Amino acid sequence: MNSVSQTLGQAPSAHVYKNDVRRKLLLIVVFLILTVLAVITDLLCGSGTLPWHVALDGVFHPDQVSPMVHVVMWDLRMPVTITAVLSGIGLAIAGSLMQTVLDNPLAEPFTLGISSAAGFGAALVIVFQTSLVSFLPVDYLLTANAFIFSLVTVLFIGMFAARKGLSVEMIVMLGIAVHFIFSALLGLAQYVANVDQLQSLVFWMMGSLQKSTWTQVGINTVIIVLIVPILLLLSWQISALRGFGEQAQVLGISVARLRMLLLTFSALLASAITATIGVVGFIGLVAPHVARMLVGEDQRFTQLMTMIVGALIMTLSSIVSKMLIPGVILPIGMVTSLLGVPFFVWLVFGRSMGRR
Amino acid sequence: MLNVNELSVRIGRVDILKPVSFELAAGQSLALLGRNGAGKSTLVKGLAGLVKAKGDIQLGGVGLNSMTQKERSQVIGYVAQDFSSSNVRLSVFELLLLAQNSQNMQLRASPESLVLAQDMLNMLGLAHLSERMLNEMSGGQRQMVALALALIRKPKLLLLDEPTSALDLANQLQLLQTVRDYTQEQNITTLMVLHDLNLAHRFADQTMILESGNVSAFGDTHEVLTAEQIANSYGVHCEVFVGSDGSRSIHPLSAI
Repeated sequence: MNSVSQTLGQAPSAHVYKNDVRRKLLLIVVFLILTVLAVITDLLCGSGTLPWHVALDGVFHPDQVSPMVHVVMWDLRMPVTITAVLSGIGLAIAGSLMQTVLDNPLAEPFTLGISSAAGFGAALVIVFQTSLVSFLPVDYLLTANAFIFSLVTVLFIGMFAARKGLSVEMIVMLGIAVHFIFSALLGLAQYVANVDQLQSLVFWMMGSLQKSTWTQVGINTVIIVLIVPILLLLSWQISALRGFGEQAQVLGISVARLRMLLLTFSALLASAITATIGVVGFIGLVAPHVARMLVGEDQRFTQLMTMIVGALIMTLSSIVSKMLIPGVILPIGMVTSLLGVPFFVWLVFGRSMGRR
Repeated sequence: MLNVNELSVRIGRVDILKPVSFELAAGQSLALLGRNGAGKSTLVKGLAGLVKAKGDIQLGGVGLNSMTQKERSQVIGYVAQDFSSSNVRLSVFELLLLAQNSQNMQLRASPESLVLAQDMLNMLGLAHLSERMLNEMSGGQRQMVALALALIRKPKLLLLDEPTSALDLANQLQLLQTVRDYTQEQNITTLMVLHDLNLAHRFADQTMILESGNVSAFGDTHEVLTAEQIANSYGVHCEVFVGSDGSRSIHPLSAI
């Protein structure tokens, strides 16, 4: 073995690997720049008729514009755009974690019933005026209730599964069962709701960035800032879990503990985002796949790229939602689904046909 | 030196492995043989800590049961029977770095791990596969990669579960010769589940035959793999030929 030992300088594989790392980092920078451009474009687009140079002034020289422009840019557009970025990051990484934990490429943040649980939590407030946190100010009741229902649901599934030693397939089955229970309860709430309540509930379920406030931006920022660095530090372990599954134990990784931690992070992110903007599908499914295609599955790069791609898709969807019908802002959930469905179909059918 | 004392595994209500005790000196290889379902893979997984096992395992005088999963992982190398089913999009070089950095909490791969990965590729003749993704490789190539992943962590106990099941004849010989050389040079202990009795004859110092979770034979390979023992354990008549250089080969004749 000693005879073949080489120094790093003579090692062709290590050299190729280092070049590959540079290529991945360059791709990440390119997509980061694209996302920044999309964010600026999103800020300049709106349902009103504010000229782009005035909007730009409103962003970079807020003290030199009229109070109206200041309000439009800083109280209306800015929270919406930042929420688009944050929710893109949160949903994308939540989806990526769910795909890793459940070892299923078609898993997404809502696989374990988060969307229907959050929907029912919202319905309790909208239709029955009931909340688990009725001590909170009225403005936060809906968001808080949706958050608590979705988070508790996934954590319950995770803890039940951990205690009973359930397989990944059983966890998914349990998630499907929970999804149907909350869907039925949500259906009941819709059935007894009056016209106004029903409209509010349906609008909430469609997902919209327009409900964003600076407080919600703050809460989501804190959650993302706390979770993302930990995930990046765990990159090697997450790569091992993706690569070796249960056998990652042989590398000294506590697989059950890591799965539970990732499931908790995924639930926390998806619940916080869903409570803020409603149910927005496909970002959590699509972004991790795009990231994997671009930089492979070394999670040091995949996680970063997943977050950037999630933010980019969400911001582009936000732009489309404002531009598609002039003067009308479409629900973002509708746009992401319309953009995501073709990719989803390709993912399922294109790949299976390619395998034949 | 590996000392296994009363190791047993129960899954549900079934005793997959009944209490097994044996010793194996450092620098020696043990072939685990037996019919399907005899408990060979379970014994290996029990030693690796992948299934809950009762009993005491001492490696070089240190109890494995008292170790954390992390400590245990630093002394055990394991090649799984089903590693070839993994479809992850990681290159061979990335996998070799991952095997060494799995406990690393920094984003950068350690510089030593880059050197060791290159050495391992050269040692196993895998340098040409370095950039190949695991999901683009044949079953046999994946088995060679699995061995590289186990060896790169410099284990003191190497556990191989059917390491040659997807390999062609030349690669079977190459892999087992590499394992044997490594075992002797590094003075480690190796257990390998095999189905080919001739390969066991050629590459294992000791052989254990399991039947329904019990040890039916254990000892020096040439003493265990006799025509009589094979007939008892496998239900197959065979002839054992001894060559002029002392090497042995087994020719199966008919099922009993």
